Amino acid sequence: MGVSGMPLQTRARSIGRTALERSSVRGAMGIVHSIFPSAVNILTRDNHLISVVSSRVGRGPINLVADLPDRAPMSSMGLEEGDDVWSGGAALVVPDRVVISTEGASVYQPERSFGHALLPASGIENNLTAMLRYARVRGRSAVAEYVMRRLPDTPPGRPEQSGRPAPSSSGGGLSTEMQVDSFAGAALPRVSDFLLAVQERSYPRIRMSASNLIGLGPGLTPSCDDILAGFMASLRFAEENRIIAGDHITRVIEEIASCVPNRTTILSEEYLMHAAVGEANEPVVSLLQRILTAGPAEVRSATRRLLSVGASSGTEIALGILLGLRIALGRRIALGVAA
Amino acid sequence: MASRVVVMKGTYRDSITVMKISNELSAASGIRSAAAVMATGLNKRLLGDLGFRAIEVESAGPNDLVVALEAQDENALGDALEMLDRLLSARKTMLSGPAGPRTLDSALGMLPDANLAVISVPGQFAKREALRALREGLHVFLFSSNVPAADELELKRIAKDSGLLLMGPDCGTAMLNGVVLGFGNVVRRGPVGIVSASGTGSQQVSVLVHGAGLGISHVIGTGGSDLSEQIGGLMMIEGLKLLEDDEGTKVIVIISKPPGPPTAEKLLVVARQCRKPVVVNFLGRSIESTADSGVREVATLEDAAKTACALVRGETPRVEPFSAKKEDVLAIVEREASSLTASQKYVRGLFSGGTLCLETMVVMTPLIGGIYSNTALGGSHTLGDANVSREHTCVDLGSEEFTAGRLHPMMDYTLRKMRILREAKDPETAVILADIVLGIGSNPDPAAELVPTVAEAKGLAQRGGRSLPIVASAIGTPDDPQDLTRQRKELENAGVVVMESNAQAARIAALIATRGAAAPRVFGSAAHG
Amino acid sequence: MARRENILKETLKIVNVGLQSFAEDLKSQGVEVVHVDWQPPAGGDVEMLRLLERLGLG
Repeated sequence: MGVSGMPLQTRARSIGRTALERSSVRGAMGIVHSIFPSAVNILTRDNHLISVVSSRVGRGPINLVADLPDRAPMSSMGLEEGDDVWSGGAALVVPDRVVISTEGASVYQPERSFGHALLPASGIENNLTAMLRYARVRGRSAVAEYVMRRLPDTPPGRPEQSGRPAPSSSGGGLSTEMQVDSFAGAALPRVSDFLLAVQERSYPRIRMSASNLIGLGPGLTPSCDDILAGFMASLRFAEENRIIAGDHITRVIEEIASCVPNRTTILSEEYLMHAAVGEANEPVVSLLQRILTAGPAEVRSATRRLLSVGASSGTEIALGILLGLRIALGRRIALGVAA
Repeated sequence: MASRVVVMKGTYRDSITVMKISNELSAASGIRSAAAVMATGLNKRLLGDLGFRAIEVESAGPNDLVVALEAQDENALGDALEMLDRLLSARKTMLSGPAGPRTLDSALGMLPDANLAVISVPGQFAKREALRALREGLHVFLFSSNVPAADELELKRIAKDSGLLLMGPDCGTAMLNGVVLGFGNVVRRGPVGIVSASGTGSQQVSVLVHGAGLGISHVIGTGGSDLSEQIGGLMMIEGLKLLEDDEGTKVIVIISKPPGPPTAEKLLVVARQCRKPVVVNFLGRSIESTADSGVREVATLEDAAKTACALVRGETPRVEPFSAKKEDVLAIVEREASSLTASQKYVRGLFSGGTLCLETMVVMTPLIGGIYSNTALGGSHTLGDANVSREHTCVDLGSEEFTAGRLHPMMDYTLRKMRILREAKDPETAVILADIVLGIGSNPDPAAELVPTVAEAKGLAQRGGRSLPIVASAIGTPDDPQDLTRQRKELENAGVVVMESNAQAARIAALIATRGAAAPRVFGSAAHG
Repeated sequence: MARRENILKETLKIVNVGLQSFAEDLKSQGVEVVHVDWQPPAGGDVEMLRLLERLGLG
């Protein structure tokens, strides 16, 4: 006895703009692509993704936040990879398994432009310093750690410069495992090259250095992709708030985005392309919003939330945000690494 | 050296799962390193540069998973590949539709004479599942936590009325008839029975009893809240009675955090009436000198084990601060403390077991003063931020704020390793202290996890002009899957001071941090705690 | 249905509900165990569940 034979019925609380567009196709819309503890990914017929998540993961452009108990793994929904997914007007259906009603779901469109609430440059920089210090200690990415070590707490030219001593060349981030030695070591000079190219406004060099980064590193969203995603999202936010002029930003982002197709995983492509238009998941947006309008304590709290995302992605995205905003504020970044 | 790179086509797993698989492979014996990455163009090229070349890799696409392994020989490689297969398909069967039963009812159809249910569902569903099991006449081991006290009480009353055990909620350890439920060590069977509200407390006592040549009849877990005022020790009393009636049990050990006075009194009354001798360890409670014949109250888990063994053997328990001779202990302290700089003042304890953290604080506070913690003995010493140590600090890394979204630190050493490095960088750290809990359910090779980090930590300190003593207690037996003997040896080779028990580790850490000044209090008279 | 036999004397035969790793650890000790692939009832909706239980269907 019991209700285990019935399809699971639930509601979507929130849906991203892209997810909404993709699910408003009627009829057969795709298949269950992959099932993670915290997400069920649906692959649409034109090879794009929608992620069904619980509210613990949060809202986002391709996310559909379903009303599920926070701790139940997504695997408990009873779905299998390859199950057909149908869209019937106001619901997504996996026949005999799951019905997710989308009626009444709010569309996720977070604010990006903050008007008078925007902090002066000094306030934003303090927040970036707070984020960096926090991420250095709590970060979970060997690649990001390598780069963060070479960044001063406060960028040069600021009166209260408390830059760290020149980084030692000691190896090993968290450990001496293969992943740290090789991928982090390979990433560092490429990130350095990319940053120089952006600061020099050399567009061909931006494109080349981005193509040397996309797809590099461990993770379903490779480490260097996450850095670039954070970078692009932050530049878009900077542009919206007139911290930096639009034309340069657009060009930089176009060069990066042009390198994305076919170089990385389908999920990372989604995040990169959305970051390129200033869209990202809630923990990222929330952090950006706080860096630009709130105080260091709130920034640390939002950083903690972001750092807990994925295995190392959150840390890498945070690094990307730091780099993007410092550059947007006109602060020079030099990692001191030969290309 | 043997190496292989394997492509798992169409295998798309989330990053945390891949990382866990990669960590488990890296920890496998004979594996020098393991990396799991997606086969993007750049990753393939990098793997090629590292010497991993294969046709399948070249034809793999960005949505395929590639695993690269470096092993010391073909055998180790073969084992690792089998492990990889198992890890990937184990996760898959968990994820995909089951061939097996989906409800308790259908499970009982397959195993009609089942007599116990192990339940580890999310807290808000725990009562429902436990009730069903009890109604079916099953004893219950309830691992789930976050179960409201009122539910716990209802469940335990029903269990008691039905003559059934309800071990939990939030029960991590039990052993019935030699079968470990949850986390536990492989120990000899023998005449010491344990009823406990603390999992790692049970583990510490049972391995010490094993080490003394005796054995354990049963470990009955009651869950962490059994001795709260609301529950009033319901299961502990039932467990006590069961062990009293069990022929194989000669001495009974009770372990819990200190209960409130009414519950403590109730329990002691029952204990005094027990036909068999009872040893009581209320962690953190100072000893009341009991004139009661059958009941002995002791200060530490180690004392509980020693006293229980002495009672079995009809001897007087010898309560000493260390198993080793005083001169030998002081020699170690001298060696470890000799290169400490003036800035190095504090003990930094990093624990996977909450009880072991508590016991350490109880032992060390009289020796070194106040200790900050996320589970502090007094409110004045609660850490503002559990991630940042302050003066003397002992952290329970198994507590909620650390475990959300992660495996428990007895299994996953990531947080602990990171924290060790952080403490190593702090010039005020005089000694790092850790519990290493072996056994079923725990990390398959803690020494392999920790040795590189220990080396890195000592190196970091050295570059700062400091030495860095590291002390650990290894809680296990040679029969555990991790093999206590091997674990000790590897840790000692890496320069870790490995002590036989958590209490001894705490004492020696205090001696090191005080450069031996605490010796009179450690070796001196009376309730050294 | 109440049982009064003494569990401490019986051979354990176990039903595991929840985390699969527990079932695996038990199997490796040679214990007979059936694993239940548990899913939250009523789609995890606690309100719906209470309703169903009141109707005798939960």
